[in-house]
Amino acid sequence: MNMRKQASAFAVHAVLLGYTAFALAPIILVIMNSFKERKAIFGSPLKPPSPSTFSLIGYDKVFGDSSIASYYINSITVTGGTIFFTLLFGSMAAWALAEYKFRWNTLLAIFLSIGIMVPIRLGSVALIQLIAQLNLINTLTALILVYVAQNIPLAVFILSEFMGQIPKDLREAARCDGLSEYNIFFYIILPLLRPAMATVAVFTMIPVWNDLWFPLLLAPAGGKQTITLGIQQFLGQYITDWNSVLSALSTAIIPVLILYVIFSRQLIRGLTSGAVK
Amino acid sequence: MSEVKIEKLCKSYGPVDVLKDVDLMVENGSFVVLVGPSGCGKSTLLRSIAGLEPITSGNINIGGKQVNDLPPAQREIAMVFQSYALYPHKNVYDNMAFGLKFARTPKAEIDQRVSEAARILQLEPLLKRRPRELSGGQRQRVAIGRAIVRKPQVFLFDEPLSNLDAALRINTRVEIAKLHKLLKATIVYVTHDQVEAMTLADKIVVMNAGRVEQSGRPLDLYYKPANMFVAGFIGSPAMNFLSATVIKKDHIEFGSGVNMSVPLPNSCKLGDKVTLGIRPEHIQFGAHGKMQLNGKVDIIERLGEIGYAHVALPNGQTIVAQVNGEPNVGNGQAVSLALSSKQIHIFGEDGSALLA
Repeated sequence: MNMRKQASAFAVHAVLLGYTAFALAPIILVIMNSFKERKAIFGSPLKPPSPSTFSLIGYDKVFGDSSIASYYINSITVTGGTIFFTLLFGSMAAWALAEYKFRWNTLLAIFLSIGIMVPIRLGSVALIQLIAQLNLINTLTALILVYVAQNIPLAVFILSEFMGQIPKDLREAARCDGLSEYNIFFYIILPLLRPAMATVAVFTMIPVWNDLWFPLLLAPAGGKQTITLGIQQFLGQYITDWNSVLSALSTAIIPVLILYVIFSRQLIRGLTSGAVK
Repeated sequence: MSEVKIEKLCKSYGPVDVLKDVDLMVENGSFVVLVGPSGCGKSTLLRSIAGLEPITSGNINIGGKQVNDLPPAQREIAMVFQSYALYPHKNVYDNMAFGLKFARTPKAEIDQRVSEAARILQLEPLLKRRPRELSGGQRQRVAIGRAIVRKPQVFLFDEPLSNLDAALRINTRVEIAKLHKLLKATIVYVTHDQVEAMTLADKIVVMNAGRVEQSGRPLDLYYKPANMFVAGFIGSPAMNFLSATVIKKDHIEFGSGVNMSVPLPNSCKLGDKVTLGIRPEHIQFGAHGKMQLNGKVDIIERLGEIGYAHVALPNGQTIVAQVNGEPNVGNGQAVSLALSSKQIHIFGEDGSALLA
């Protein structure tokens, strides 16, 4: 029995390790090669950097280029703004849909869930026209608006599921304590929703950070490029500065990694325990 | 002046009437228990008083002020929920202080009120703990503390003991009774447990299907139930009901020739269907008195000092009688039961009591 348990545990871990290696290999390759000379990248792409092939030239170029820094800031602004507004409006909408009974409640919920099923990119042309009419081309506002719209349906869906789990008595106790509906939302519901919000934040953050599509369409110039788009400047038609591309890609991992660590700690923490028996 | 007065309160969810013309008077400083089976509307009535449930028609007055349309916070009530409903992300102190903070009470006063409540409820060592680090009984006390600090006109308790285990429940019941004496508070308390109702209440309100069946002092309800519902609900084990027919003046028959003479009100005519009610504790073993039934003991439940004998009558009905340690009563034995004439109840066909 014990043997079988061990064997199955081993099998599970072998599969997980295999998948991890598979998923991480390209990233390791990118990071490894970002520390090598151009010749060595092409000569032996699978070898780790050795003293003779080690070079920081890519990082030098990336950090030396002032526009790259502003692309970083753009990316962080867009991702941060998107997370903030998605969580704020998503949780408010979820609260309204979960807590209040009103006439169009179900219809609104269905309308929002359509947003999960239909990819927003189908509307790219219309979005470009709309953003152009609003004079928002080449602004970060345009990107944040589109990303919030893209992410709110899933956020509402996930958050309203979690809201349903918050005991009704808690809201009523707060009402007896004299809190307004807004205060109940901000002081009782939001703190209890932290694990769910972290989930939504992670789901929102990674595609937004990595997106190339909308930055290319809506903010391709004027110093408003995001980092994923900004890196494209190193990719030429005839010559590609691989040192810079790889270094920029490697550094681009760091901010998402930090955000992920912050959010994942919340994910694990179950806060609602102990509210009611 | 913190009385609660409810007049002609109705509440319906669509076509379903949950409360029908409920009148209730809770005097200043009294402990009123709403009791009834589940779904009788007692919780809805409590929540209507709290303002958590909008009412369809009628009037609710708290402290002489009509509160029909006021939100819960302005009704000067405090509610203790069955699930305690403590804020899980706040410690005990903040749980109690939370409402006061929003009422912009000065910090010093919040401190003073919370520490007083903590002292009364012996929560002082726990003030910095989170609810999940507390036991069920401690959470219960925090929930009560949160009510106390608000200094409400009326305390509303919604089945506060039903999540506690049996031993703790009895303990907490005594604590609540002491608390009521100490605070001289007006309390409306909902429970489905008639023992809680009997032990705590100054006044019991028995509800059934959205109506008040009877209200009054616990012993009045015990000795003078207005109808079969109240008679069956108050008292444990429940009152015995034997259906019978009037065969001559002051004489009834239970079927299969089992008959008995009982004092009947003059309104009873021959052939009327009546129900005789007698509590297990008002039945004696042995042949004395006029009112007697003979049967055979089916089974005896012995609780120690007392026991309950389930006696099968010749007509197939079963009657439960209390055994006060009589060693000579055993399973399968033929016994005579003497009913105390002062303690019998006669109910008419509609279930209402005929003997006053």
